[in-house]
Amino acid sequence: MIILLVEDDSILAAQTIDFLNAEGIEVDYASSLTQARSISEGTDYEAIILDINLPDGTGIEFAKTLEKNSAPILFLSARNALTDKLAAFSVGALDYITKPFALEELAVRIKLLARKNTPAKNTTFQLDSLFVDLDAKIAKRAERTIVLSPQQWSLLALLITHSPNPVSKDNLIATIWPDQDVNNNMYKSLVTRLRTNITKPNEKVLLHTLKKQGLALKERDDE
Amino acid sequence: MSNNQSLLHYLIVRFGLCALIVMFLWGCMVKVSYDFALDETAAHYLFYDAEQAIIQNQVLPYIDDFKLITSDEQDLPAWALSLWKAKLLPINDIYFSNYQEDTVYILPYQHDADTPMIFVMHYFDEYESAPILPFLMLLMGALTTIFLYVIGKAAYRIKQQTHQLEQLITPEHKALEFKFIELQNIADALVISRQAERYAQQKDRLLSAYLSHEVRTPLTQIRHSLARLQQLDDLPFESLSIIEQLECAQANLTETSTAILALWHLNPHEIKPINLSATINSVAALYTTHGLIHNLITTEETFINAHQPLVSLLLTQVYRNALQHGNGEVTTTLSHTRMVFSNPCIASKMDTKGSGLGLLLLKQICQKLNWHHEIAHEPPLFSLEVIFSKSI
Repeated sequence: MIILLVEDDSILAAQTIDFLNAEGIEVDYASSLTQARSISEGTDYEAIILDINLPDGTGIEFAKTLEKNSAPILFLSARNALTDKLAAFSVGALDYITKPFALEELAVRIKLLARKNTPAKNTTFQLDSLFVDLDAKIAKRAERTIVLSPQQWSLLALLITHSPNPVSKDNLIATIWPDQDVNNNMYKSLVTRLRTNITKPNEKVLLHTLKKQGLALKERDDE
Repeated sequence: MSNNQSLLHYLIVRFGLCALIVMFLWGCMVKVSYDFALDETAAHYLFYDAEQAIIQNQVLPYIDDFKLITSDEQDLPAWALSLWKAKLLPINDIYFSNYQEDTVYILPYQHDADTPMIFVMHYFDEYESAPILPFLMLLMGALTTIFLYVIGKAAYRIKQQTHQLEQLITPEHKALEFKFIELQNIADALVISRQAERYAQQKDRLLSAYLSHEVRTPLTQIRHSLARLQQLDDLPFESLSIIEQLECAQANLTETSTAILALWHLNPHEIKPINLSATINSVAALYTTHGLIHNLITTEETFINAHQPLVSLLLTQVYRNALQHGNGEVTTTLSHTRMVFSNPCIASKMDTKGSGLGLLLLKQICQKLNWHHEIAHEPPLFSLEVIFSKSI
């Protein structure tokens, strides 16, 4: 997936690009409208992220010049007035996020926007309030978006494949670290991080360590 | 062209004009009364005529269309003579009578016992003498009408102008022109003060936006960095608790800074219905690890229009205070109109007054949210009641 990001705050842009890259999203970056016009020529983006206030104009002006069937537009702005949002939607924006924002939320929204243009595969998994789309790499618990590292995604995918049955530690290590020496600390770190990400205080525990069986993603039998 | 005038001038002109009209009409009436002797001056002129007749040794009888002056009673008309003979005409006193179509004043005048009697008669024809009462009533009616008209118009104009002045109090109203200088001065002062207020508000908003940007930018960077950290593989196991602590502190700092900024400048768009029971539970849960024993008494989920970070900050202050000054037990009773926090105070902590900043912050939050609060300290129980306002 490739998207265009037009944002004049270079620090914010760098963090956003790093984050989106790690989520498997390639980013073309422009810090001004002129730059955006020149680099976007001839490229079919799956989504466009626009800031409103830019050094040489506004994102609204840029959105007006885009063709009707171009990539879905998401506005990212510090302006939170209703008039600004309405102006953005009137030029074809499909989404609007106000700064400060959470990168994980931005990533999910971009994935959802991009998915509107491509046929969805049936790769979703639901358990209690946990929702996972393995293809789009979206994980949510109720309204909370979950950020996972590549290893955590692999582990989650493995657990989902076997759910509600457990996955043994050996099987797990062989899948996640196929050609690597693994110490117990690395294993503990990965499992703890996934468990913490999936279950916050006051949420039902879904990741269980079963004695001599391994790790299982399921609702507890006695719950 | 400006038609500004002083309120004093306006009133003086109108009421002065009325007074002049009254004086003129009254003068005319007095003249008519004087000419026709319709007032007490009749007696004066009767005596005057009698004395003049004696002093000037006037040839008597003197007769014209309006008077008769004689020293011989035989010159009197028969009816007057009969009255004289019947001793019904008192000497040196005015007798008033209507005879035929005339109104007659008779004065039998004797300067002293040695001087001869002089009879003075003044005739007034009723048809020639206009009846004064209808005129008086007409005059009074006309004057009353004029007065009412002038006062009514003046009152209406003043009311109109003051209403115009009231309109200036609404923020979006532009400057208006006033008839009266005094009101114009007030209006000008109001406009200047309004402009100053708007300017101050604008400056306040700008500063608030600047501060918000200055605070939120590094916070966002921390948040984004933490999110980036979450994407990395093979983090040392020992770093996980540190990252978790950082995330927790970042979330608290974000919420606290948002609340502090809202205390300064509350954006109405940020007022939303919040699930108060859920918020209470989540804030209290943060302090259960510190020893808070929380008990929420509520019958159903309560949604209140409020500012989430401000409410969280208020609850934080309450639970922190309960931990600091109590034994950690807090009971929160929640309804659609109010929430009541009560906790027992420990005798050993009774003298731990603290700096009072928590309470001050709590008061400011209540003020900002237009909520009312009451504190009751009846040892060993301390209770705080927060009553929600419907207007927010």
